[in-house]
Amino acid sequence: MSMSLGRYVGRRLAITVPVLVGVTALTFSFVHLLPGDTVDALVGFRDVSPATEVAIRTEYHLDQPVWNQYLLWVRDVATLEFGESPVTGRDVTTTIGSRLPATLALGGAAWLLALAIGIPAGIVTAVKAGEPADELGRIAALAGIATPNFWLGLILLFVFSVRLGWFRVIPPDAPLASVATAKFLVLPTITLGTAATALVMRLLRSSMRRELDAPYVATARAKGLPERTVILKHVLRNALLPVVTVAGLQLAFLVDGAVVVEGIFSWPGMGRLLVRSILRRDYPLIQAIVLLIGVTIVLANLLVDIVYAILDPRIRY
Amino acid sequence: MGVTGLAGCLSFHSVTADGPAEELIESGFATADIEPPFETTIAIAQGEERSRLAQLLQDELNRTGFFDVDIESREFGTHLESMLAAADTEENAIFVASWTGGWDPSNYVTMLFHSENHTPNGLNVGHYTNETVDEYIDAGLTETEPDERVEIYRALQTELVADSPVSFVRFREATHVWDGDVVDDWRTYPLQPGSYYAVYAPWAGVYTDLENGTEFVGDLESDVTNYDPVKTNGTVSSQATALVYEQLVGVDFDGEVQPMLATDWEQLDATTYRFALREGVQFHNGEELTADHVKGSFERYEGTTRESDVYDWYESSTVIDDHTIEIECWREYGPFETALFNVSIVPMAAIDGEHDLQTEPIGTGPYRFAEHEPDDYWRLRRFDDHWFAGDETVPATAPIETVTLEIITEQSSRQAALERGDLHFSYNLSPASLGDFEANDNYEIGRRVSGGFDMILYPCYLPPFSEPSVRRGCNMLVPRERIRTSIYHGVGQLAYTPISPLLEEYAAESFQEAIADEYVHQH
Repeated sequence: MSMSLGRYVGRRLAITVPVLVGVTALTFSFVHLLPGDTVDALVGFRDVSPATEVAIRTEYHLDQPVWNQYLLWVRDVATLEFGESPVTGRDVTTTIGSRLPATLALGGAAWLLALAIGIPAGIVTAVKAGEPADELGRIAALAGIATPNFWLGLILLFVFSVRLGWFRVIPPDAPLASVATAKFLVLPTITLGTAATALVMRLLRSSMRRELDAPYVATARAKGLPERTVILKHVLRNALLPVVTVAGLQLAFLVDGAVVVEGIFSWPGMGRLLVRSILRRDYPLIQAIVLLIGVTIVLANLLVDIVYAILDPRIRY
Repeated sequence: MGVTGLAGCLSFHSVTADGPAEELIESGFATADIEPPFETTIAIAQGEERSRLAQLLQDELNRTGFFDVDIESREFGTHLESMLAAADTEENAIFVASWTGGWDPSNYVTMLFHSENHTPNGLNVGHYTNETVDEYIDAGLTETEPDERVEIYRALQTELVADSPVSFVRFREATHVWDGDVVDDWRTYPLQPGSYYAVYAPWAGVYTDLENGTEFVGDLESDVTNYDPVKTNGTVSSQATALVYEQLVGVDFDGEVQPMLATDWEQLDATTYRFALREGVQFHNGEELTADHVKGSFERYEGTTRESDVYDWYESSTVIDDHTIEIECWREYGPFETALFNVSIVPMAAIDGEHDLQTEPIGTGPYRFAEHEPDDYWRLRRFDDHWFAGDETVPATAPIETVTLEIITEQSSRQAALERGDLHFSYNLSPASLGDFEANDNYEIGRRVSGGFDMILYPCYLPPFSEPSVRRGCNMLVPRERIRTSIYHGVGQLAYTPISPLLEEYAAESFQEAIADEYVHQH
């Protein structure tokens, strides 16, 4: 298996390159289709002499045709050179690098929350199908999926921060890895993780229900295996496959941040950075973030496939 | 074909003018040979308040029967671009937008109404052309006699309202809210770039103390993108660096010009001014201010996006000695003193290109740059070698040691952070949340009319809006009072003219009322 898996990973990684070229070329074209360019955003409505405007356009290659701008960008990226933002004059790699830890912390916490609550809750509701616990889970999941992020975030903020005063409204002046920051992250994590938790739970419940009716479960029970072993060793292992897919893809979305939640909790993450760079037509920054997201999604997909192979030995590549 | 023609005919006869506004519109439609209802669109940038404003306007216009109006809400950048391209593509749309002026009346009219500023070179969106208006604008810029300028700008405003290329709807207000248990005697600066002058502005005779502690925590509604005055683009960057950089002169809280880095100045002839510079002024990097700093700081603007701040009037300067400089303008320039307030004086290291102000802003101000975590916070620390030696109103040392400005983009989170005590101060909160703070004794509110106004721009390039009578009729229909009370909860003042009442002489209440009576109110 290791041989074939190794070859499979190699082949998949090779496909990554054209995928990323496609993704970045598409973003590049779409962003350039938006009305206005960086210089318009920079100049605003100021009275700037045409010569100055031309000079700035030339400096950032904005006078070139779009395809040539893209090729210039690819040439730089091939040497891991992402350039500097024409808007802030700051290095793009540093800008993204400074956001990544905060983005991963919030996204990672929400992801762990989704698994830590979604999986046990999924098991319990599957096993106790039709009982009050299952009904309660169904209602909670429905509410969790149907509640919009911004609403949940504002309500949590109002109740737990403003009324009860338990949490700060804005991030504390403390390093990322500190008790104060961890405490602050409680509300944003719940806000961001609720929908994913509900999704994992419902997904696991339905796939477990399918497995519970399978003949091998009856066989296992007939063998006299304890119910706990039947559920956790046999059923759960088989039922986890769809959850792995979802969890893996969610992992990919960790890096793109969460615009709404970051906005409400003033969290300095990638989502706000991306939105602002689009509003300001900050092309180098947009491109670098999109590339990063593309890479993560490709890698996360790969990871999902590998975990599949481990969970289900019948899957061969 | 026949049926459509008949239908058009029928609808034409069903529209009757039942008021002065409708009569004006009817006569304009007749001149332009347009059959009502005329289909058009109100284009706005996304946002709840703007979209409600558009709905109120839509109702009024549709009710006349002369218009059949749609609303189109666009992403901010797209909206801006479509306004810039509107006249060239003859887009059939009425635009809702805002503009912010400053301490000089020319700020409120030049970009919007001069025929040299037709889009995309300026913001004359409707490609409005009126020679009289152009003459007044030019005269206002070159006139240096204050009384003469008042006359010119009053005549200009009358002409503009009579012709109504734009409907002025509401003057905005600067609204500051602070925690009364923490912050003492906050003064509200009317223009947003100066929101934090209240912390310590000895040149304006203003400072603030804290009840306890030495750290002041305020906020910024978006991130600080540029630290360098010649690259600054956007109010928030100016706001964040206002305590870092200083200028030759400042405009204080009452609109009076005050000496800052210049102690005294005189006009030598129509276009030459001589400045005596303050002695013993230190930059945050240890340099001492000389006339060369001033010359270099002015000339740094050439070839940058902010070049018009200086080169709209600046010709050259002559260094007389270390602390005396003569500045020569290429034309007589009415707004000269207020224009100086826009030009920050920077150290030689930045002028020579050795130091990049984008990495660290360095000026002579009472606070020096400490840290900036993008999208998180902006922090300044007191500069202990600041030139001010103290007087009876302001102490020599600012009581506040650290100024932290939290970057919070979400309106509701700004309110929540102030309520929980995470912030001591916030500004420009939504009018609705202002009411919550008014009801709470722990908070104090400062409100002043600011330099911003909301307006409706008509496509003057397109019949029937090419007819002044149609635009004047529409201008009468704008439900200003309802917009102010129902959308903005009573925040702001009704606007009939472009120049903000902040500039009292140019926009005296009696003058505005007379104009509104003559051209806007329906009798």
